[in-house]
Amino acid sequence: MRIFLVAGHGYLNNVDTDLHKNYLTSYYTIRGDKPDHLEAWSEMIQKREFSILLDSGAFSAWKRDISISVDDYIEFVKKYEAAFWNYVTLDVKSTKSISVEESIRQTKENTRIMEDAGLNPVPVYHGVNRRIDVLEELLEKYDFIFIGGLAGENRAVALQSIADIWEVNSKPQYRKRLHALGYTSTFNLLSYPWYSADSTAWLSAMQFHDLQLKYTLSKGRQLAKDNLIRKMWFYPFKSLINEDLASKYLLPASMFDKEDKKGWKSRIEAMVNVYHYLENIITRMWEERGVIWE
Amino acid sequence: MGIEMMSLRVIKLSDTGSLKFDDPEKDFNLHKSVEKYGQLRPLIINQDNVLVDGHRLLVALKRAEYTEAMVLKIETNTVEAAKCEINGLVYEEDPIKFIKALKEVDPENNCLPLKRAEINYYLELLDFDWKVYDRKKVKGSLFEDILLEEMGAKA
Repeated sequence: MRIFLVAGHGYLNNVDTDLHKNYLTSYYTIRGDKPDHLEAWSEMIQKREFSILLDSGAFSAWKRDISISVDDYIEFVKKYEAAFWNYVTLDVKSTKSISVEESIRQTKENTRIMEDAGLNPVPVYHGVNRRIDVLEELLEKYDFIFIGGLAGENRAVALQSIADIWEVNSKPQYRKRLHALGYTSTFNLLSYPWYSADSTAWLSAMQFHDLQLKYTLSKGRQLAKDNLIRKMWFYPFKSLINEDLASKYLLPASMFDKEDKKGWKSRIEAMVNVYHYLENIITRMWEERGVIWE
Repeated sequence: MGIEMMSLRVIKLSDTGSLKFDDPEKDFNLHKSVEKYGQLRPLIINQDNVLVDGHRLLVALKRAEYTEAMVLKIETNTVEAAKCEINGLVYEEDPIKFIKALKEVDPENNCLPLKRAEINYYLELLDFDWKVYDRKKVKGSLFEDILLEEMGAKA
């Protein structure tokens, strides 16, 4: 199981540790950068053997009323292809102004255009569309599929969508590699055998520094008091968010690096370590259950 | 049961080793402590001289070129159960190794603050069948109970 930490190249340039290799960045956020910066970034990625998953960022762009052209996206991917472990198709999410049918049609068309241009983009299925026929079509054709449209949705709707998806993908003829786009909830990752997932959660945890961790710890204890099921859940995985880890990784950075006054680099490294640890535990749990992704 | 001196050569390791995560910083600290103050705590072994607790200490003692060390023998049927019970719920324990070792623990007679149902719940975490996602058949298994509860509460 691989956790891709969402990071623009600004963040990645500040990641000093090579412990964790998987990061996701979006075309939308880096497309306007200077070519020499992108060249240097691309070289750094390859030298440090990072696995970069490129998302189109189309939905983020749409929210800002910016449209991404499939031709521009293709040109960018071709130019920097060596830097990417994989790249995702230019998907179109259904909105108030774009129907589910139209979103499916446009996403499929963009994938076809990219494939015709000689690329192999990872297709996207939007879970909240609840169109299992579309998912089955993708499962027939592809080995690796992005499941989008989960982050930011009503949690109950997202959970139901995930349950529907795995009800289909658990059939013996499929069992393909699925990626949870923007959804790294520990419950989710331990409940379903995702091949990979990504989110920005590590950045928010980093920004709030130790406050975030203290909140998580107190919340965990509260859950343990309130609910037997969660208590049982919490104990074996308490070390995912334990105080020992906190004291080890979230000490004031100024103690170690006087130049790093805001503790920026130390916090980045701390959260990279925490998520790398999470990836390790979840991967091993699935291995124990007999699910090993090649 | 008392502390005795024993040659390090006769102390055996079980297949699973320590249940704890590797931690080079703690290893360093223990190594320096042994060098400066000597062995302050006994190694815990069973009646067959298999190490139950003190894996890091054993490594530190060997690094410091000890040939014999203080040991304390305990009565236990299975080394894995004793490891699990002694270290129980310490933060530095590897949750996967902990759950695997829990298989050896007597659910009716152990030192852990866990009810039988809780122990069973842990052990079920290691079991998996793709059919679990056919919710009509096995509703309530794996984490479906938690997920369905949340869905029901917020739908």
